[in-house]
Amino acid sequence: MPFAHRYCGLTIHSAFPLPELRNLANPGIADVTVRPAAVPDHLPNPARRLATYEIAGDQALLRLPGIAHYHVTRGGTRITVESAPRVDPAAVRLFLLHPVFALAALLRGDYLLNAAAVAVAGKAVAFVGHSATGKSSLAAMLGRGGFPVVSDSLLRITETSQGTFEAHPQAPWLLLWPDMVERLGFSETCCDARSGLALKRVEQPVADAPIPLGRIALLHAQKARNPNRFKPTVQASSLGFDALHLYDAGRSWLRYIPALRLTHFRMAAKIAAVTPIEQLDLPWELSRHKEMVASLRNWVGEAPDSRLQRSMDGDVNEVD
Amino acid sequence: MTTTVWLASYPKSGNTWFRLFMARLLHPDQHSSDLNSLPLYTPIASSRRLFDDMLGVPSAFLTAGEIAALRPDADAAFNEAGDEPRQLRKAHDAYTYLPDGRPLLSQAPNFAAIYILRDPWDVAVSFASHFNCTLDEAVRRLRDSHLSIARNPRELNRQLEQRLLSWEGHVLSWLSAPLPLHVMRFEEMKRAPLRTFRAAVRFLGLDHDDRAIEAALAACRIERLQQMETETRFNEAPQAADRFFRRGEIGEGVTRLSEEQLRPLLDMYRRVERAISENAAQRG
Repeated sequence: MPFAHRYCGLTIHSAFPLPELRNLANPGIADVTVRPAAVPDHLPNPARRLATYEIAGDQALLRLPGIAHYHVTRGGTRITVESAPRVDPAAVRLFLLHPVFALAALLRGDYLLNAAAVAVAGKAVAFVGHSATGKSSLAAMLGRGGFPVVSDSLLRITETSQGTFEAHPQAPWLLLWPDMVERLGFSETCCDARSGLALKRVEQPVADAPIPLGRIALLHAQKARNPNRFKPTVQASSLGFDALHLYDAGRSWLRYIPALRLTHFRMAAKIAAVTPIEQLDLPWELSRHKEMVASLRNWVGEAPDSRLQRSMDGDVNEVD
Repeated sequence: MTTTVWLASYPKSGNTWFRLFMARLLHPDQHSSDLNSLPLYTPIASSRRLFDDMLGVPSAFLTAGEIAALRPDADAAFNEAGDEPRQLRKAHDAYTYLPDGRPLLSQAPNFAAIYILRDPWDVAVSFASHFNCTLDEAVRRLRDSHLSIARNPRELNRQLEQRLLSWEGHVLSWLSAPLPLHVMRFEEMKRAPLRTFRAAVRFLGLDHDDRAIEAALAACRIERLQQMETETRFNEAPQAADRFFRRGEIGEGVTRLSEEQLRPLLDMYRRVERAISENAAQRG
């Protein structure tokens, strides 16, 4: 395979370029291989068959009309991609690096959260939440405030031999919508995530190595109703393990893979047992994003990484 | 197989009132003073979260056309996952068709609908308050056959885009939908609540008696809902408005709209009434 990349702490060998990912000078052994080829229409005896996916044992199909069909095999270590005619290659890669990769990781036995995360004093602070709760935007705001980004949407968590947990950096970018791109001054350094969509890909520095998992915030972004009370509301979450399960990146498919359900539940329970999990109700008002960042920095409780210090005192558009 | 019953309406037509009633009717012992914690899950047809979870695909990465093409599959998957004979889901979308001819919101036998219809002049007044616009703008939007909500390409909305069409187009689209349909008029819900709500309950195949229906209605009086909203803000209230439950009156639009604003709404209303009469005559 001519191309080798690092993604969520795994080595990907690909037959076609993945320009969104960093190249690996010394590839080593592949954790996942990606190649273009024809993909079967169906799987034999699937545990689940829907228009968009099929699950059968240790393989899966993900079908996106007009974009591509993806076949995940060999227990999630091989991904075959059959692109639709005249499709935007960026669209094919966008889905490859998100739901398809999450599906492959699930079949591999990896544990991924749908989470954006930043590094605070050398530990990962992860924001989990449903779509449109502002996870990536929060990571971007904190990134601008000097806290290195760890992930945009997929956070792979592994257990060390000491029984602690590590978070693996996803990739050197965030996916943001135009309002946030302009608000944070990223307009000159972004590109379209795919054609036909306003979503932008913004480059971000990211660490090379995994870092300890510090805390998890369940994000409930709310619109600011009282402009005079602009503090995030934090409460200890009694959900813990249940909450993690809700944001498991493989949750859509996990119910149809009995062999993996128990290991995933155990992993979630272990993480919840040692990692602080809080519900974060965040007043959301884009025009006051500096106050939002200040509030978040207070909540985070640590100074930003001085190596990536950004000044938030001036106009954000003046930040280099 | 579960049947999904759409609780469909143009916005500001009484949909939330009916859902609150159903929550109380089906769960009379689960009292809650928090409007946001009701014991009845009625996910909206345009729920992004439900779409993503059912299909395993992030809708944020899909174009509006790609999402629309997959919505019937997400709804079918949700139907399959249900373990009750019927599940209620809110819908503000007009009943439209995809380019390949499939209805966006599916059809019989696994789908049915209760359509709540409210006089357009009263919808306009409530619409203006909810969306923080002028009455002129509200009337313009009710007349706009291309109107969509939750459509903002600059940020990600929690809901998927919903095509409303005009108020008239919205009503007519549901009246001609190929699925079992029960029409409720907001004005009759107010004037003759027991009879009107009972008919909807029977359409749903439920056998609750009048005492149970009246108890649920009493728990959902507008004054009580307004009081509950003063205690805990209702999540469905828009940011721009200070509350969700306003007056819920009949005829407010007639007194507040000018003749110039009323005239096009009356024209739409008459055409809708004619269509309803013709529809009834054909079925009768």
